[in-house]
Amino acid sequence: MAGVAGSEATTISAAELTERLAPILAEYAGKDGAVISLLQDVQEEFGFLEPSAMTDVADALDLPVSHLYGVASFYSQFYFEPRGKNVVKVCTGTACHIRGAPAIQARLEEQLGIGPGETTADLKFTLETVNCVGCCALAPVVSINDRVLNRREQRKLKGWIQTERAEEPTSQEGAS
Amino acid sequence: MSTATEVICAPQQALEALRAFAADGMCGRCIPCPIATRQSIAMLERITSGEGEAVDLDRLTRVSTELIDAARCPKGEEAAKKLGEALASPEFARHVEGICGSGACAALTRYRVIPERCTMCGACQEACPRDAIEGDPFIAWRGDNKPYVIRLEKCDGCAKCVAACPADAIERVT
Amino acid sequence: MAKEITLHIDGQPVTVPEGTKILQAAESIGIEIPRLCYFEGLPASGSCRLCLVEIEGQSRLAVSCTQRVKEGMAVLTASDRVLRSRRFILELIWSTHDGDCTTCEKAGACDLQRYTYDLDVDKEKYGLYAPDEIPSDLGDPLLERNLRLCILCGRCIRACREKSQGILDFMERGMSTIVTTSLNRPLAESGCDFCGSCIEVCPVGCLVERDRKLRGREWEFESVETLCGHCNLGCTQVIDLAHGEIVRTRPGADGYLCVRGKFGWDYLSSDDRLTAPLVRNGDSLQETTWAEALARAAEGLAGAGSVAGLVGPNVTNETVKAFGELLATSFGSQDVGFTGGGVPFGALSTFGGLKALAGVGDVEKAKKILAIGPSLAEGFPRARLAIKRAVDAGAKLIVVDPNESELAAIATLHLKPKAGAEAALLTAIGKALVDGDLHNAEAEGVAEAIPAIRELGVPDAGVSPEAIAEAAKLFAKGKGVVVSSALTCDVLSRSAGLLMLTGRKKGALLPLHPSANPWAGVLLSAGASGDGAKGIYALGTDPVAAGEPPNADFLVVQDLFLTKTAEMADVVLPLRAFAEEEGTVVGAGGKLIAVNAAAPSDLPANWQILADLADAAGKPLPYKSIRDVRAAAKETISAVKGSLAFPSMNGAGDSEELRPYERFELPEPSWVARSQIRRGGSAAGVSEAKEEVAA
Repeated sequence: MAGVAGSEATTISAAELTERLAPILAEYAGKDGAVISLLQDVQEEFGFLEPSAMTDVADALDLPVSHLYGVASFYSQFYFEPRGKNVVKVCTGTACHIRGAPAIQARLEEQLGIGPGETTADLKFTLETVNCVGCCALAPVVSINDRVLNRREQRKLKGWIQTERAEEPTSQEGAS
Repeated sequence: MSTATEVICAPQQALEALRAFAADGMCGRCIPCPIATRQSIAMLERITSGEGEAVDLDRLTRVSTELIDAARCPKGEEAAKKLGEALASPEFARHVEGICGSGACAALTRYRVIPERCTMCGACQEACPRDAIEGDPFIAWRGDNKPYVIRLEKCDGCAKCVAACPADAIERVT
Repeated sequence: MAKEITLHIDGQPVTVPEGTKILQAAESIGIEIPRLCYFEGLPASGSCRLCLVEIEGQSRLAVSCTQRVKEGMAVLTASDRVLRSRRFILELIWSTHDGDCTTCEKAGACDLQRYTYDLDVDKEKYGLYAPDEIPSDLGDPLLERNLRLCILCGRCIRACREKSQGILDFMERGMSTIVTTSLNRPLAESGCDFCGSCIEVCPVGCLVERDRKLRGREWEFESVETLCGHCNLGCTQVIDLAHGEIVRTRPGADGYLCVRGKFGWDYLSSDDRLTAPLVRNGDSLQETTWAEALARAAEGLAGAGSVAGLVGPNVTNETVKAFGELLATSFGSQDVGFTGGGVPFGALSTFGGLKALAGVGDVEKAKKILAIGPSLAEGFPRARLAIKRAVDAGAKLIVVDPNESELAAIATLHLKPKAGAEAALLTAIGKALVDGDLHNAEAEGVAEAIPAIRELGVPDAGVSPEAIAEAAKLFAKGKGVVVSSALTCDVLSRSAGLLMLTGRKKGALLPLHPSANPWAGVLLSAGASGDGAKGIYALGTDPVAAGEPPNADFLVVQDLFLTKTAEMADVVLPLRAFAEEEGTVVGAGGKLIAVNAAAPSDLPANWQILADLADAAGKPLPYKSIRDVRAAAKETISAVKGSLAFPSMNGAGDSEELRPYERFELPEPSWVARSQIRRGGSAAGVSEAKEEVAA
């Protein structure tokens, strides 16, 4: 099922999960029709829709967990697996395509060892392709965490990735 | 990629509209709309890539009329109505016949020699990678020089002949 | 009285109560409007669009499953416009439905197939577009989910929500929409309890029981309706047979079976079933003829001197009656014990007799429910459904359980007594009723009991007096029932006491027992001890497994399998299983409810085996047919009247030595180990009252 593969056991302890979830649940307590806002807050806090958090939210709202996943999987903004510290996006719009986006994508896929929509095992990189981001004059466009790289940065991308990889393992943080 | 130039034809417009609807506005929570959308997109993809058949036009017309009743919400109705309006264009039938007059569909773009303008220089024949152009060079003392002819079934719309022709004697088939 | 509306459908007048949907109104006059997503009993969603009808004066077609009738409406269910739309939708469905009617299990019972035929739909109109990634089998045990056949009607989602755990939903959106569990995890990891309610409502062949596959066509099946025998809630069970073998079971008109009723029938044809009598020859048991075995049994029991009988709760009334008659007539013994696995049926006789017995219908109509005991919802899903329905309809629920539980989560009041103190808590509630003057002073037998109750000390159950007072206040009035999976003498008798104090005497007490016919003990005259008996006949019961091995010179055992007790026996006789027997059981209100021989068996009927043994002993039973036995059973039962003695509300008989749930544990029925729902499927339906009690 495309896009909803789900993650394995979380690295967060049950106690920490409850603690971080509590203020979110408190804010929406008793509010009707707040499911989407609540899920957005959960994703902001954990970087994705953490499965244990989903169970707790379902209990708190007295809704079946399946209903929450039905709502969440309806919208492309929600992620069901942890995202990488660096979300690398390659634009595949017309202008970028003509200026070599496919080659850039292929090189990134090879270097990172993942395909579009996937995240590296060390949770450092997520690779995505996106439609036109609207700065075609800068084509081909590559962004990291939604900041478009300039020419120099693009040329040094390969080295930069190597450096990032060599650093200490990252702890899972919220999507920036 | 099916867009050879910035130009768009009616079938492609209809295809893009349905793709946009499928990606964004179509919820998929009633039975007819998502299936009709997917099938229509499949048919329009065939039509814009040269594999469309007359029966596809019948099916698309049926979708555009029946989905108005069958869809559960105004969004599906709107999509159906827009499709119906698009289908009024004669371009659809032309696509089924194998020609995209605006050149938007690379697979259906074909070129023809404008007989009155052809100087029979042979440049187009040399340029053509498909061996699609028939004709003999101009021989002054002969009285039966004929303009070159592009065989439609061999032409793949690459337009190299257009670039090569010094006399502006090649135009797109509409 | 609801206001009545008159309208016309296809020119015919029809009058129905206000609020009726057009589709239902049409059905009432025999007009079937095609539908794929609508299902009687589930909320309507109006998403398949097949039920669209034309209403005079309205430009848009109307959704007949959701739209209510209006006075003077003129509806056309099959106009040209409607038929065009219907055909269009069916054509579209066929373009994504990757199936072949020729080999599909649903052929003959498929709504899609039927409507396609009725409307002469062109299946090939849009060609087939079914991406390879859509799975044809999601690999779950017990049932197959073939998403290539799913038409996205959503019935399974609504059925699962209404009747079970609600684990399914539409996932993704647009053209990628599929119906599955959260994150598309396997059913067993998603909280599925394998009740099969989804299968019942699926209009096409997407959901199929694995055991049913390749076993026959729908039109070849013979169906027999009976009651499921896996617990005393007695859900109607329809058994489908092909070539004389069970292929599938389905719920009856009451619409629900749990995993045991739905998938727990395979033990009937287990290779381990006893099919022929055995007699002991030295160290081993050897197969022999019925004549030989019955002669040996008769001789052995007659020669033993004093004889006792033990019979279990999974047989029909007729079997129990014939058994008691056999012991009395042929072996001069009144010492026949009904072993319900430690359940004190005597508690019932102290209060209202069998009329007090409630059924699921009483629970669903109740306004006040007291639910006692461990794993109530998990062990008895039909009870869970009944309680949930009542609570949804506004009933107040008091849960007595030291643990958190599914029912506790929806309870109005959750009382958590100390481990082992459930009965003490009930006493405390009874006292609170009396002290607060909340009892029904006019109710029969109550006035005499009040003084003694006032004298009772308030036992410490680990629950605050405020909570106890609240429980008393809550439970005092309104149609009330007690549902209990905690089956000890003290809990049952005090539950009966609470009911009597509040004037509830009929259809009020529902002890939950994992057996088919736990109240049949009333057919036997006196409780048995079996002490000192030299000859013992154990029928459908396994004392060794219950921890009380029989100590006899001569032992006859009659059972489904070679149980531990049977291994010790001198004569072993095969037993016809509950599903294989025609007969009656004691149901709610003490009524006799008929069960049919739904599963095939080569054995004689159990009552017949007992009659033949009586013949072999030279003292035949007074029965010529099963009707005679039934009549005798009926007579015995109607003579059972509850005494009006008030049940004991104090500590006599309490035993707090055992860990609390050990007191409620019952020996596992012999079929469980031999059924797929234990081995490979989900064990969700089998009660496991082994939870650790929170300290």
